[in-house]
Amino acid sequence: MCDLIEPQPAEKIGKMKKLRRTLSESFSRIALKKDDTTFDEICVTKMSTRNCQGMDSVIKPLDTIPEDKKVRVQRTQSTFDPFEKPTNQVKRVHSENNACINFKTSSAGKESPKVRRHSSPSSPTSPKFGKADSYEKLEKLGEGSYATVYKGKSKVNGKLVALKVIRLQEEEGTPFTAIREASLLKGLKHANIVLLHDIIHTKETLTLVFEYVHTDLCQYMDKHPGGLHPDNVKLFLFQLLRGLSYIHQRYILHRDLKPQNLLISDTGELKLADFGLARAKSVPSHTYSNEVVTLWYRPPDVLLGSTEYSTCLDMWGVGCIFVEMIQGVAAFPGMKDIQDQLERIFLVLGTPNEDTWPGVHSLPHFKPERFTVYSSKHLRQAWNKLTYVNHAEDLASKLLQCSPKNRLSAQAALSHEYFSDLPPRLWELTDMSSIFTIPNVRLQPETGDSLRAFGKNNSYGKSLSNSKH
Amino acid sequence: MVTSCPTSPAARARRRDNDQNLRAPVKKSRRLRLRRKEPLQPLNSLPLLGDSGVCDLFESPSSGSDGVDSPAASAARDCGLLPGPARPWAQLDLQTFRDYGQSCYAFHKARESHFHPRESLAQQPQVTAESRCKLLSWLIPVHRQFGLSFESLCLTVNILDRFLITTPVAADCFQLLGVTSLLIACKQVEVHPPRVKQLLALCCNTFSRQQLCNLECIVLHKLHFSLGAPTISFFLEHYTHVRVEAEQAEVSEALEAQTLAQGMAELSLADYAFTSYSPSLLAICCLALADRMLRLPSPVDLLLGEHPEAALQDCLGKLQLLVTINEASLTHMLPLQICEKCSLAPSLIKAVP
Repeated sequence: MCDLIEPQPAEKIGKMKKLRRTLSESFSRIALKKDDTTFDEICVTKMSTRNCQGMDSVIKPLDTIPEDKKVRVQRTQSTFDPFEKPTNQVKRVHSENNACINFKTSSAGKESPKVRRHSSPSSPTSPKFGKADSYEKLEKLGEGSYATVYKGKSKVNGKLVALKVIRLQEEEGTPFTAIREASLLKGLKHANIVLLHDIIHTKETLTLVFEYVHTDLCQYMDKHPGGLHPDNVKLFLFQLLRGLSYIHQRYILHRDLKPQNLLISDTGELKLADFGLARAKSVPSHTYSNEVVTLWYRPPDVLLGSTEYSTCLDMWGVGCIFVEMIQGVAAFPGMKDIQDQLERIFLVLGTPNEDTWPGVHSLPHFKPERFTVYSSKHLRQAWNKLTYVNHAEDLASKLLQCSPKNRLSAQAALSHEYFSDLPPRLWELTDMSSIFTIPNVRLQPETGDSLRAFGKNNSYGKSLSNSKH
Repeated sequence: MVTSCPTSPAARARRRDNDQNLRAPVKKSRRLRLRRKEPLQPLNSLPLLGDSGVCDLFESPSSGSDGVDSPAASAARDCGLLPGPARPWAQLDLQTFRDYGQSCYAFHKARESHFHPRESLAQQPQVTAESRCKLLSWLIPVHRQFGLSFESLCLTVNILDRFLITTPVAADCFQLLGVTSLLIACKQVEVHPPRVKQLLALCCNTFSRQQLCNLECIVLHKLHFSLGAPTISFFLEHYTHVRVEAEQAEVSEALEAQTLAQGMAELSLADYAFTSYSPSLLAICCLALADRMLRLPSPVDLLLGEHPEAALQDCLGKLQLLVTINEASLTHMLPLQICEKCSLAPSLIKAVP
């Protein structure tokens, strides 16, 4: 069964033999159990008494109709080992099938033994994706929470890709973040969600091959400090909401929205990335390298220990990112801990109580005496630039609601008046069409940036090299 | 099952001792058993770990270190060990349902047949319907033991069946495939997936860590990482939301029906005969049967899922039979309160037209 994993053929054979031996050993052990009563007993206990208030732990299948019960009882009495090899099996199996999984039929023929492919099967003549060596690894782009990201180039068509290389763990197998990211992204095809090209599985690593996107919102804002062009903010926010509305319709939560996870292409397309925590119910507070994960975009209900998650969880982050794009500074840049983060939020939105947020007192970490009582303010008092754009303050205030139930949904936010001056065709786009396919929708040069407009491509290139370190 | 459960007190005591030793990694069984028949409680009353970051400093499911024995990790596991049926109370989220329920339903319904494994055993030389039944009759209590969600169980069975279509499996590795499927399903949806070590211990350490991890890779590869199958669990929740939102049922009634229906659905997962029915069909039939057993004044609309009448009747008929012959198992799966309400008795079920 390991022939796909082993890179060396010689080693492979050895390993196969060894494995088979192990397997037949384990097989004989199972067989042994029947004679060795103690062992049998323990195993049976393990297997059957998990719900052993009843005597019947085997669910009776329909083919055992009640009249048949006698036979059934006999059968269950005689052995309780679902994993023994059926002795009276009609179909004969060759001895090598004692190996756990018979791979001969499935793998040897068409696939490279070194590398496993997960890309959708294409015609045999089409370019071969999926091999680790079909991509050239270029510079390192960054270190994620559980993976390292490299810029890469397809040797087949020369296109740039991002290679997210995930280390496989010896202890627990494939990391859950990788499984989630791969399985979720495989089902998501949308212009505002990063496209997963390919999955490459080797012995030590799992590599997700993504489309290459030039920069991310964090770098983009760093490059253009003091707030982005209001028209660009609108286009970015619209795309963010489009992508979110698409995943929320599938009950998928992103759960880790922050500017670093919003990729921006050179034309201004925004793509949601990093789905490693999507659907997860816990957000880690440390990354692999034990860096503290930022709390800036975490909603107050989560900070207070709520475990009731729904799509409104992501909408808080949208509000924070919206404010940050307009104002040029993070909305709630907590410096210390959860307490500090919450204080910053309450300073602007007011300290919640049972009237403003029914149920807040029953949240695990809500201790009224811990928080100074602030009254709520207009958002413009905290972020003056919200007043420069019509309806921006209203939209921000509807997203930045402490009580999750009061937050606007992504779908509803797309219909907010703030977007009313955008071309109506934007709401009729198919999932895979970018908003920039609509005439006259384009990114504006950032203020103070217009002089350097020609050098833009260059500066993007520069920002890449020092990205995400 | 008389032989498998030693009846003499001495034997029982001996077994318990053995349990204690062998079960070290999963020591919550006794407590779970006691709690299982407690009345349903809202989640809020339990001290749950949040996302705040306060409690998860030590919890690192993705890191390589083995945190099984750290206090935080065991506390986390504690919290995860809720009796399954208590979950729906917290999960009734009408607001999200209003926002996205219908589009999400349409999405899952459309993908259902793509993920539906049909005749998964047709090409299997060794695995039979009976061994599948035995494996799942074991996996169901295992998933309860770990306090995992019904969604995980559904996904486990889906992964198992879809893999069986692609690859012949030797009988002596079928159990390994079972726990591997469970592990993958849990990594996909659970907050605290079981540790590999625990799963291996459950199989009496018949298999090695290496074997489990290898098989995990193979399964992921064969399924092309497509793990987001629509499940009975999803459809049960959806139909429950629909009837509550339309005010066709009280919240408490609808949730009781959902719990009972979930018990039946668990039974059906173990029976190969039910693999021919789609999850949405099974969900609506389980709910309909649950309504009848609970004698709800306004039963769920069978046509809610737009299934053909013949399929509905066929599935409903088989489901009734399944419930009748597994009455004992079903009562052990359900909270006491619900068993009393529907007075699980074969005569009653047979009386249903």
